Amino acid sequence: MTGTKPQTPASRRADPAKRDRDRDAGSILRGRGPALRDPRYVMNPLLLSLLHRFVLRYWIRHWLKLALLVGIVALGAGSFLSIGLANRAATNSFDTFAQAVSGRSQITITASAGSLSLADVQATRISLLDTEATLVPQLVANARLADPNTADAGNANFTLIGIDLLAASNFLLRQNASSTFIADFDQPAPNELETPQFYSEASTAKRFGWDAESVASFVIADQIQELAWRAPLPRVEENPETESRVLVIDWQSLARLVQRPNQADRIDIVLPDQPDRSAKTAQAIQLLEASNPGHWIVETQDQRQKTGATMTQALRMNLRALSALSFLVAICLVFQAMDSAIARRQGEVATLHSIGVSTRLTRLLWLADAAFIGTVGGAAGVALGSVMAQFSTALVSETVDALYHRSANAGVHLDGSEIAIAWTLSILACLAAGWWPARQAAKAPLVETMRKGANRSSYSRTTYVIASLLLSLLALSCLYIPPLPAANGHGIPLGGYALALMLIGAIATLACLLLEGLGLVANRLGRKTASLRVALSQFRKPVTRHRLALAGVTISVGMTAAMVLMIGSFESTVRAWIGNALGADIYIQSRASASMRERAAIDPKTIAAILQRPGIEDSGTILSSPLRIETLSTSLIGLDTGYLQRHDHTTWLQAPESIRGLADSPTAIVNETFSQRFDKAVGDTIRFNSPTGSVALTVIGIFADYGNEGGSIGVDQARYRQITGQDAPIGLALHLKDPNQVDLMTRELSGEYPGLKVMTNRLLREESLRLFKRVFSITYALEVLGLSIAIAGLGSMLASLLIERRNEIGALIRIGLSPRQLAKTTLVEGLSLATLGTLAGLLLGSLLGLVLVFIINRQSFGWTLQLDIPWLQLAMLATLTLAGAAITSWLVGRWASNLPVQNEE
Amino acid sequence: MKSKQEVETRSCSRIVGIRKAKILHCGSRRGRSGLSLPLILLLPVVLFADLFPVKERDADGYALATPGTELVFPRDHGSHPEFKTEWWYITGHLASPDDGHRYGFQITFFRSATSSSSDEQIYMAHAATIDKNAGRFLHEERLNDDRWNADAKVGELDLYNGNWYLRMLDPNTEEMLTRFSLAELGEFKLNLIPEKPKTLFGDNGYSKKSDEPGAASYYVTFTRLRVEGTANIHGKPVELSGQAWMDHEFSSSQLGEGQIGWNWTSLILKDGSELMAYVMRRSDGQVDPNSRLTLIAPDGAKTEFAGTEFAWQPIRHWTSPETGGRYPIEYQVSWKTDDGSERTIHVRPEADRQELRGKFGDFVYWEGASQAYDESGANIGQGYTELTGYTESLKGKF
Repeated sequence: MTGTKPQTPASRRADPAKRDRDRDAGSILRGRGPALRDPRYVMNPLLLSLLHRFVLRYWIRHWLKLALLVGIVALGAGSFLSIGLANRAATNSFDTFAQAVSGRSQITITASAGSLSLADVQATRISLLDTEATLVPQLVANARLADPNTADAGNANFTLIGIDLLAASNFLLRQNASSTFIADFDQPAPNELETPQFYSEASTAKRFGWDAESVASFVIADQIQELAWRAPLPRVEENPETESRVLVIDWQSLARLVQRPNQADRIDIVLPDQPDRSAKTAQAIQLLEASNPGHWIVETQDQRQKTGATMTQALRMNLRALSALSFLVAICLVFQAMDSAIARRQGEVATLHSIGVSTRLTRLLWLADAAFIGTVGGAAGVALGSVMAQFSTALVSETVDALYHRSANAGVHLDGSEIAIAWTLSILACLAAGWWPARQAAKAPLVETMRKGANRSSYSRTTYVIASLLLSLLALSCLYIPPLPAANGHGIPLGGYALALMLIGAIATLACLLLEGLGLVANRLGRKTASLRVALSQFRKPVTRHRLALAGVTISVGMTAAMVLMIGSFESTVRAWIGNALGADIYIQSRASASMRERAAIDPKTIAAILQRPGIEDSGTILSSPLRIETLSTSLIGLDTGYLQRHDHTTWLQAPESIRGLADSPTAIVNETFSQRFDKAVGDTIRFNSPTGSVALTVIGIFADYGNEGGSIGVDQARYRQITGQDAPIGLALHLKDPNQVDLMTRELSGEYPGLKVMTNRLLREESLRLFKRVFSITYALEVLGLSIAIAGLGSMLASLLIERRNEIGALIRIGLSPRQLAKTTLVEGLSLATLGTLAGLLLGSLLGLVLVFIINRQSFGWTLQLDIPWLQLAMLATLTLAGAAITSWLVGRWASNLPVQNEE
Repeated sequence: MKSKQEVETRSCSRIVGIRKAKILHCGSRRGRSGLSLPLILLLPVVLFADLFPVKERDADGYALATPGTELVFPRDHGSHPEFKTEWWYITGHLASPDDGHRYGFQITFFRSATSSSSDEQIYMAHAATIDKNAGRFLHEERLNDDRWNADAKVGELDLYNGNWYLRMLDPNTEEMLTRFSLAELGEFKLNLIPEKPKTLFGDNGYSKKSDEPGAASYYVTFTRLRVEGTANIHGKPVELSGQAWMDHEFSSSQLGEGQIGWNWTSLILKDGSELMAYVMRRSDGQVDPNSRLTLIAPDGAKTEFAGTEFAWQPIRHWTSPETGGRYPIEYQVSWKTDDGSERTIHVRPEADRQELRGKFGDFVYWEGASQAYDESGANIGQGYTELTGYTESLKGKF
């Protein structure tokens, strides 16, 4: 193998030819003055002239190639930026609904368990009598348009905020708002009878066709309720428009609708915008803490945002990591393209050196070239990312909606820092990708280049062997890096990420090493046709471009395969879990339920009425409420202990001696996530505050649960009611005497209770799996993106190589090779490369999948998944990659056959 | 007697009625599940306090003011939820010893029962200041129900509306503390220290309003309060001191037929005496005979004059550019003394523009700081004037 060996400074010092070259160049330059080698030459007219001739003019002439390179960088940057923006939207959307009228609050009070009572609200008011602050107690509920024809399902969900309209009007009046909730008392609305009224943004009202005569039907709790639209939501002028899915209603009206009299979910406290607001906020917190009966969680809005952010931290971090992989692929491809350009333009470089341009200057020119691509690609990436963010935000929101909390639908906000990060990374990535080729170019031996023509750069086999061994060793050592403690109680899988990175490097390097072998093996197989022989001969002396394109394909396929494997394992685990957990015939929940965490309650009276029906053999209910332990959010579940005794469908990791213990003593079972987040094992005691005092529960069992990453504590329902003061279940399971009556009973219940979602066991399984698929909607998009970049990169690589080999192609055409045969040649070349890349990618994907399943997922989410290899999907992935590579390679070959033989570079 | 306040509180009750029917649909708020801790703490006060003796009730079940009822303190400084309306009304004058800046202020707390069972209350509050140096007048209002953001205790003076409050610090000295704020100016926290014993207007606090049966109130006033406190004006702390007048009145009475508005004044005079006068204006241009002038001597002795025994003579009018109301903001009050000589006090406003245009209840009135001058033109004191019914007749509205 011949190639230009990278030279160390020491070898350069020892290289007399190099010293001569430099001396020669220096002697030529002496006549023009020493300024060219001076660092200040950056502003030299020669540099500017060269920048124009060498960089700009080249790219103007080769705009198509520039477009492709820029496109690749843009895809990487765009993907990174869109995920960044989506993550930020998901983080910012937390809680924004609560500021519908008051704007951004400074302090929020919530209950550690259950709700805040009217006494809590009064006590808050009294504790802040000497503080210039506005208090906004709120009750929050889900509402869903009952009429499916009014809006499509995706837009039918709303958050109903119950506020004290009088108190809010005082605030609005004080802020000189143009309207209040009581401005038009003397003018009763036409729709005003005894119907509770709601307010929405004017744009929302317009979208749903609500006017002063409208009465809309919503599912609230388990009932269909009619609400009259009163007016556009009054608010302070400088506040941005409220999130479109927020509806405001009188606090007590909502309390009545959801059977939660005199309860509030939170109190927002707004302090006037004055220079000393931070100090006043701190004082107010002190006053509140002094009055805190123990169960208030008093947080600044920043702390609360952080709390919300920690809920989605692991998800966001993993998405970031995945999107960064697209960047990595882009770097490979830019490296490859730069390397290709340098190979083709070595003559130019040599000429520059011969006229006295220093090696430092040529290196600078190449770096300028790389920076140019990074800048333009980054700019295009920002534009692309902004567009992609519209979709990625929706997809991330879907995941957040499904798993965590109702995210706002506030649209994408183009955050300056995210744009700056993506753009800067694009430039840095291109500079990094261009650094080595630039070094190579600057070192191009003048005489050798003149004699041999363009250099087909490559690196020694030993380099790859050493690199792959080193990376494998590093990968192994990463296994011992412990996770960093994260703010959400989980761990940041630092070792997992490092291991993934090392594995990517190791497998990509290994694939590059195998490329030559592939050339030898394939060449033997391909002697029958000229096209095959020509194509496969390329791998006997693969150049860096081949290896980089291979690395690109390997990483892309690996990344996608890893996601396929992880999702497959997740789905399989969840399927098994659901299969085990769902033992009843019929499951009932409110149609207003918005996500796994935000379930609407069912009136106990409704449940009692359902249970009066004949044909029901057994039933069980479940209650759920958010819980705060110190600063961390989790869930408290009210379990029907008797039901669990009769039908234990729990997937136990550590089963209790007797589930009856839940009812008999202050004990709890916890899920795996909780156990990990809060470091609680069987026998440990969990302590937290509740409105009825401090609670201490001994853990008697640990169960598997993939519903959320916040964890949950399960207690007997009587204890749950005592702790939270709430008694409305969120779900009801029915066992029928005659299983053949399931469909009939389901139909009858659905008809009788339109506010309830009545599902058969089969339907709930499908529904649960559908929900889990929603969770991964963003990862599917990233998979497609990764593959697109890889295939585009493969095409780009082939195009560069064919341009390089155009004289050879010309000769082939002259000796009778048809365009079709030429296309076949590139097809074989591309396909072979893609095959090797796909195989290496699948290996990489499998390893990354294991890292995701057993390290990253466990440390980030506290979920132990059963490994499941989705062969079919992996086969589809391979087929798609190869098909994409084949089509691209064929098209590039057809295009190359029309290239002119001589063309000025 | 301060009929304007009665109108205001009626305005509140009207709002409450509308609010209940059309906005909140809240039903009975007494469906609270169990007694909360603060309510339990209140129980001893409620159970063992010397409850106000109600002798008569109107057709709606509200308690009526009746003669011969003894007012007991500090109990009767507190709230009387069995009466339909009640208010605590403070007006005063402040000066900063630091920079000589002078302010006039008004802070008023209204309570109105929306049910004769006295378990549903609505609270309104008005705050206003006049920067006497710059002539800048500011006012704000608040309206809250009794669920959490407003309350008035029974048995003692302790009430709040949002973060404006008034409470008695010591039932023996009857020193009070009030806090209010205006978004465009700042916060005021003022101690009110009685310099004279409280005055019970009418017959030991029973103040007859009109000839209509049951139309009366209980009326208690601190006519001279020393004010000491601080303000945070535009973020800068300012020491303040001055004088104030405080009325506390509760009743369930209605306004008399044919009344379209009233003029009211309270003057704190330099000689240690005070004057309170009101004129009920009728639609026929006549003064209602139930109008009154009351003089409070330095020793607290009071002398009352019927509507026919004194004159309220407008001197200068001001027309509000916002509402068009034409108010007689400068006027003279004249009466004959025991020796037959005529006394005249000339009252001149600190600034013309002191009109309160409330958005809650759609009620507009003029309430302003004034200076008092004697016949020779010498300044003899300072006071507050209230003028209502000048933008529209109140007849039929309340």
